[in-house]
This record gives sequence, structure tokens and C-alpha cells, in this order.
Amino acid sequence: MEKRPLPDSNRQWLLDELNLWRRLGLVNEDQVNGIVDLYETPTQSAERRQSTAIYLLVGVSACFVGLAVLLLVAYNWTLLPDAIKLFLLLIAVGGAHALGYSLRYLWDAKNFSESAFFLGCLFYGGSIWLIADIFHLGSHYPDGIWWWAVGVVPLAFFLDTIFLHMLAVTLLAAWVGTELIGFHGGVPGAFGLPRACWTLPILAGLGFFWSYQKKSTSTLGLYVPLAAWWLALVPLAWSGLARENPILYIGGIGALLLILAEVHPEGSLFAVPYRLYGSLVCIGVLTTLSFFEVQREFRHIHDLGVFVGLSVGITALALGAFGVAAAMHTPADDEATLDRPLMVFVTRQWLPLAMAGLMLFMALWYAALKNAAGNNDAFVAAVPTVLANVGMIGLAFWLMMLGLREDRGFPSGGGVLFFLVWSVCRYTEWFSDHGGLLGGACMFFLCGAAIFGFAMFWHYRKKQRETSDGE
Amino acid sequence: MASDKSHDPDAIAAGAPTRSADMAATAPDVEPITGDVEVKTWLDSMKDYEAAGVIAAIGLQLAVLVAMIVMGSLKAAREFF
Repeated sequence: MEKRPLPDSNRQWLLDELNLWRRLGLVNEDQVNGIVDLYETPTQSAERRQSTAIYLLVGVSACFVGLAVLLLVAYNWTLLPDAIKLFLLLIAVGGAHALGYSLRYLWDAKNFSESAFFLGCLFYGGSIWLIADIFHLGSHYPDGIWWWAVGVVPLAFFLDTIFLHMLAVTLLAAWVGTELIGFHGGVPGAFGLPRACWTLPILAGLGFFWSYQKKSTSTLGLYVPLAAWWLALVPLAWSGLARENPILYIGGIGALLLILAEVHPEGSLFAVPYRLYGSLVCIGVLTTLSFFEVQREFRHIHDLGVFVGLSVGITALALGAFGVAAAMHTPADDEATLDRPLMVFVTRQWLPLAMAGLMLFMALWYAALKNAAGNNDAFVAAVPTVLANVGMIGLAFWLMMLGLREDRGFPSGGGVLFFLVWSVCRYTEWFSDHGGLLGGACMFFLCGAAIFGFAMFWHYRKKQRETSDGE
Repeated sequence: MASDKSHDPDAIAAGAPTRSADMAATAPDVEPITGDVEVKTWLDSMKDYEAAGVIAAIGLQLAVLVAMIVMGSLKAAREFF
């Protein structure tokens, strides 16, 4: 059985505790040895750290060698005949991969092989552009990025290496960005089907499937923002949709990510990437929308149908995801004793669903009052401004509660930081012109009281739970 | 047909063969299972084909480059003639 990694600080703690348990008679000598044998020795840990450092250094050196070769070839490129150029390109790609293959399967040097494969994939991308340049094939350059990504994705799946997944995701994100932002119109020969990067969901879907099968949260953390990036840009494929302010639609994507995070069992690490990116998107959107002057910009809606349609579409997608997850929900063992396990599942979704509802409500609000604003302009913008601020505070406290519930510092710290951001934003908006220091002092006092009140609430709630568990 | 004495305590005490002794005598030689029983998932099985998959992926990259060269050559030939 492979020895499990153990940091030095944890090792010392474990040895101290085992000594104590042995003295108390809780474990015997054999059990102590059995537990210690499960983990790496200090020498093995040091070797692993060294090999990780060497792995990183070799990776960086491979990048430098690749750059040096590319620059050297580029310097002499115009002097070389086309046949030699093509030969060099094929040899560079094939040679780097052959080296990687030999290192991995013949010489058993897995870490070095990954650098060679990575270099081979860089050469492959460079070769696409250079061959296109030799034959003047550059009609639609995002296609080159797509072919590069398509060549890297299978290698990333087979080799099980984060470097190649990072390269694949970066290329796919660049392809989506260049295709959707820079080009419009239909896919050639596809009966007017817009250029919406239709293969992205398939390629990203494979990444999601692979991440869940391999239980790799770090890889999932690459594909989640890729899918969100595509979802955010896909309306640009339709020229009519591109003109509208997309901020409420993007907020809907954040809500969708939060819903998907809470679909996972409580405490699951797979929820973390969805929650992290969902929170970041919602924080960005709500912070922007919390300013009164930003809300007043919604007076300029060009096409009401498109504006509402985008929000309705993303909310329907979010609710659809929630509905499918709720229908497929099987209660965990600890929920099975409860009368309504589905209710527990739904309760965890209160904030994500509220976020989705908030974004949709704002869109419908502005659509309904578009022509009825007149002298009530301030009122029309004030209601969504207040709601955006309530949403910010709700999200901040939700993150704090989540961190406390799952005993993780990152969400709690993020929630507190977000609350501070909200207080600074409101200070600048409300008291920079009027109220001055006194108003600011009053607001910060209330913020401190709110955080203190929350801490006390959580403390008493925890005590109550401990008491009820004891009974 | 002889009666089965394998459950009769007196017969067993007198030296009659028990059913388990019979079974042990007639059982085929099976290697005992030692250590942990490892259940292979389809993903573990995929590891057996990793090398073939890597070759196929490299082949795909080279095929794309060769296809580009062929397309470019055809384009150049069309322009030349």
C-alpha cells in the first residue's frame, strides 16, 4: 500500500498523541507501529518535496527551452526553405512527444515526461500557426486555437496531469473569447447556426466527467470557470443580444453556480469550485449594482424582450438544475431520520435561489417600469439598489455561516471581507459628500455591532445544539 | 446407498469422515486470497490502456499537422496551376 503523505508538523503532533494514547493504554505497541507505518517517513517526505521542486524546475526549464528554440527558429525562419520548415516542425512535435513517451514508459521518469509532453503540446500549437503561415491558411484564426485545444485535451485526459489540463482550459477559454467577442455570423454550412462555440460544452463536459471520476477537485476548479466563461459570452453569438447590459444575466450565472455548489452533499470538496466562482461572480455583480448611479443606467434598455429574455433564460436554467437535483436527491444517512429530507436539501439552497430570484426580479422590475419612470426615476432605481445591498449583506452572512458550519476559514474570512467591502462602498457612496466623519463613524459602529451580534448568535446556537445532543 | 454419517456425533467420534473432511478431500486446489482484495473500477482499467491512448493522442496531433500540410499543398497547387 502506498504511504500517505504527512507534513512534519502533523507528524510531530501524531507521534506525541500516540505516545499519550499508549501510556493511557488506549492503543498497544503494534497498533502504534501500524498507524505510523501508514505514513511516509521524514526521509520519504523530504524526497517527495524535493521531487516536486525538481518537477516544477524542470517544467519551467522546459518552457524556457521551448521559447529559446522558437526564437532561434524564428530568427532563421525566413531563410529556410518551406520543406525544411515543415520537416523541422513535425520533428519538433514528434521528438518532444517521443522523449516524453520514453521517459514515462521506458525510463519510468513520470515527472520529467510530463514536462516533455507539455513542451510537445506547445510545439504542436506553434506548428499550427507556422504551417498556416507557410501556406497562407489564416482565414479564421480562432479555428487554429480550437485545433490546438483539441490536440491537447486527449493527452491531458490520458496523462492525468494538471499542467496539460491547465493548457487545455486556457486554450479553450482563449478560443471562446476570440470567437465570441471578435466574430459574429453563422457557422459555415450550418444553415445559419450562430458561432456559439457549440463544441465547448462537449469538451468541458468531458473535463467535468473526468474530474468527478478521478475525484480531482483541482481539475474541476479549472473546468467550472471555463463553463461559466462560455455561458457568460454565449449571448454575444447573437448580434441582437450583444447590445444589452449583461450584468443581471452574469449575476444569474453566479446564482446558478451557487445552486450547483449546494447540490453537492454538505462538506463535499466538489462544491468548493462552484461556490468559490459563484460567490466571486455574485460579489462582483452585487457590489456594482449596490451603487444608486449604476442602477440608474438601466433606464437605457434597448430591447425589452432581449433584456428580460436573457434573465429569464438563465433563471430557468438555474431552476432547472435545482429541480433535476431535487428530483434525484437521495437523503444521506444523517438526513434519513428527518421527516422531510427534501426540506433539508431545499433549506441549504435558500441563498442561491434568492440570488437567482433577485437577478430576475431586477430585470422584470426595470422592464415593467421602463416607460413609467418619468418623475419617479429615483424610486425606480432605489428599490433594486436597496435589494442589491440586502443581497450583499445576505451573501456575506451566508458565507460566514457556511464557514462556521463546515469549520472552514476561507468562506468565513471571505464573508467577513465581503461585509467590510460593503461597508467601505456604502461609506464612500453615502458619506463622502454628506454626513462626513460622524455618519461614517455611525455606520462602522453598526457594522461592528452586526458582526458581534452574528458571532453571539452563532455561539448560543452552537451551545443549544450541544445541549440538545447531550440530552 | 450408504446413510450420511457426517452429522452423527457418535459416528464422527468413531472415526467416520465428516462432510467438511469430504469436501476438503475433493475440493480443487485454490490459491488462498491473501492481502487486500482490490476492486478495479473502469477508470483503473483505463490505466492499462494509458500508453495506447497517449500514442493515439500524439497521433491525433501529428494527423492534424499533416492534414494542414496536405490542405496547404493542395491550395498551393491550385494557385500554381
